Parts: sequence; C-alpha cells; structure tokens
Amino acid sequence: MYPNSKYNSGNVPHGGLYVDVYRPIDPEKPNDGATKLGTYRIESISPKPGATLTKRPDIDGGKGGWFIIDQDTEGNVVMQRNVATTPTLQNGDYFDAGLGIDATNAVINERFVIHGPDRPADAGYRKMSLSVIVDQYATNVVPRDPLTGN
Amino acid sequence: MTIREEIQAIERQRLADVERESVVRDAAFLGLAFEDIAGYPAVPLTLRHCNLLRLIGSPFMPPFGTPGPQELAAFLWVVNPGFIPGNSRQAIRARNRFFAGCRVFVKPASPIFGLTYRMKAWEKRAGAALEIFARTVAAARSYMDDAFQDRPPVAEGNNGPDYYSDFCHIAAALMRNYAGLRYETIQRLPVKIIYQFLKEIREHNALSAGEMPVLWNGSDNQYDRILELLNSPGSN
Repeated sequence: MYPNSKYNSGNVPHGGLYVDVYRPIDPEKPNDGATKLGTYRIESISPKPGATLTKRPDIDGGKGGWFIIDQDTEGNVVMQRNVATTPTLQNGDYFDAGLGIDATNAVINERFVIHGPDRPADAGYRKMSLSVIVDQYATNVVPRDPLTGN
Repeated sequence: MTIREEIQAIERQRLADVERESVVRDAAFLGLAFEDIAGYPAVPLTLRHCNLLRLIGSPFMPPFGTPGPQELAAFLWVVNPGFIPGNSRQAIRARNRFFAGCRVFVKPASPIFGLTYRMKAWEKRAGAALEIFARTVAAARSYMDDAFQDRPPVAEGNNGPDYYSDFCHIAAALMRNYAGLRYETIQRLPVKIIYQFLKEIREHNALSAGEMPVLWNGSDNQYDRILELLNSPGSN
C-alpha cells in the first residue's frame, strides 16, 4: 500500500487493449484465412477517419458549395509484444478490434492492417511503434478478448 | 491457479509497481536532501556520483555485479552526505571514520584457537554481520533501482565505440532542450529528475515529428508476464 492509494477495490480494468494478431495465408485474399501470430498489447491507438473536402465555387469564383468524401481510417499504434512467445510484426499483419460506437450504441468492429512496424533494438524493444489502416472490405471481423477468451 | 487468476495477480502487482513509480517520481521533485540506505544516510544520486562509482568499478553500477563488504562500504561512502573526495588529510580522516562504522557488516576474522565457545561466539558474530550486509546490499540496490527507474533504454549487445561520455550525452540533451540550463546545475541534479526530463524530451521530440512516442516503464514488465501467459500453449 502506498500513500496515494486511499482505496483499491481490486477490480481496476487491465491497462491497454489485448488483441490477437494474424498474418494472411494468401496476402491477395486476406479474407480467406490467416495464421494467428499471438496476443499483443496495444498501449495506445489513434485511428482517424480520413476525409477529402472538395469545394465547388460558382462560375464567378464566388460561394458555391462543397462536399466531403470519406477516406481510409488510419492511425498510429504503440504495441507491446512478448519477445519469447511472439514474432516481430510485418507489413500486412492485422488485428481486429472494436474501438468505435455507432449511433445505435453498437460497437464498430474493424480490421486494422499493420504497416511500417519498427524494430527498435534497445532495452525497451518489447514496445514498437507502427501504423495501421482499416480494411473496409474485411469480412468476418470478430475481435476476441484474449483476457476472457471470448 | 488458473491463467485468469494468475493474470489478476500480475495485474495487482503491476498496479502496485505503477504506484511505487509514481511516488518515486513525485518525491524526486520535493528536493529532499537525504535518503536512507538501511540506516546509512545518503544524498540523492547525481551524475557526479555515477561517474565516481563507475571509476571505482562499483558493482552497484551497470552492468551490475555482486558486491563484497568493501565495495558496499565504498558505495555508501560515495553517496554519504559527508563524502569528501581526494586524499587530503581531512578526506582520509573522514573516510576512515566512516569505514569504521561499516565494520558491522564485515565478517569478523575467525578465532586463532578454535575452541568450541570461541567458535560459537564467532559464528554468531559472523551471522549477524552477514545479516546486516545482506540487508544493506538490498537497500543499496533499491536506492539504485529507484534512481534508475526512468533511465533511457540502452541498446543490447555491442553498441559500438564511445566518442564522448554518457554525462556529455545527457548534459547536451538537457541543455539543447531546456534553454538556460547550465552544465554545473546538471551535475548537481538528482538522476531521478534528469531521467524524467530525458523521457519528456523523447516524448516531445516524437510528437513534434508526428510520431507516436515509445516509452518504457519498469512496471511494463508485468504486461510482458501477462502476454507470456496469454501466449502460452495452455491459454485459449
């Protein structure tokens, strides 16, 4: 017990998010099957839906209108792995996670495909920085909670 | 114990570690003049201490080794508030006085004549010295662990040649990022504070470059244990 701990109910949620990472058997057909690489921990993730704003001025260059088109959702991740039990990650590995909530309060499950994973060689090399892009055509996206097994 | 129960236990340990790290970090900024190593007073560890300890090959510095009583005494003397460097008469007198107080953890010489009662008395004294020695080493290691808890990660294996000292590297990083900070001030700053600033610099630089900062805490080792369990063959 430490001085700044006034009460510890023992039911504090686990820090971070644990995900199963997969590698597609056929990269050309990622929905046809994948090999599970193992469970990793996401320390932070910041997916951001991209958008293109197009403006349509009238013929004299005055105000006309504009429209927004959805672009891919992309973001950066800090991920931790256990070096003894899980491999380093490669471009094209992916994990499923439900990070967003839709208008009906349902969790939005998405497939985050990894690119640009770094491989630092210092003592903190169990954590890596990488980028993700959401595959909007992924099928059978069912995140599993490795902590509960569900 | 099931894997889930083991994870819960590790998670409790992690929370305790996080709290401990937090206390050490906050306390570093209180400006406390003295710390305690099993009853021996010590000042907060600075880069100057690190240089001195490295020069004498102290096993309390990385790569950490197994200390003997003489090495423990030398360590306690370097971090003692009354430490006087050099070989002046005053320094030698102060050092000898301090070392005399360290005899309590030095194993006494065995009796010349091994009479039963003498041997028993000696065993008792030696056991007491060993107990004090072990307790003091544990406290000294804890003191160093606290000081180094936010130390930047170091590359494993052969890191290539050194072209300047660690102190130069740290001082340059601090002075470059915090305008007005002087070399002399850095030398007197506790390493607990310096390492936190270095983490802040690393985070700031990564964010400025549009990258996600990757930082490491000792308590993250508990996550590593959880991941090992989750990836073990028995886990689903």
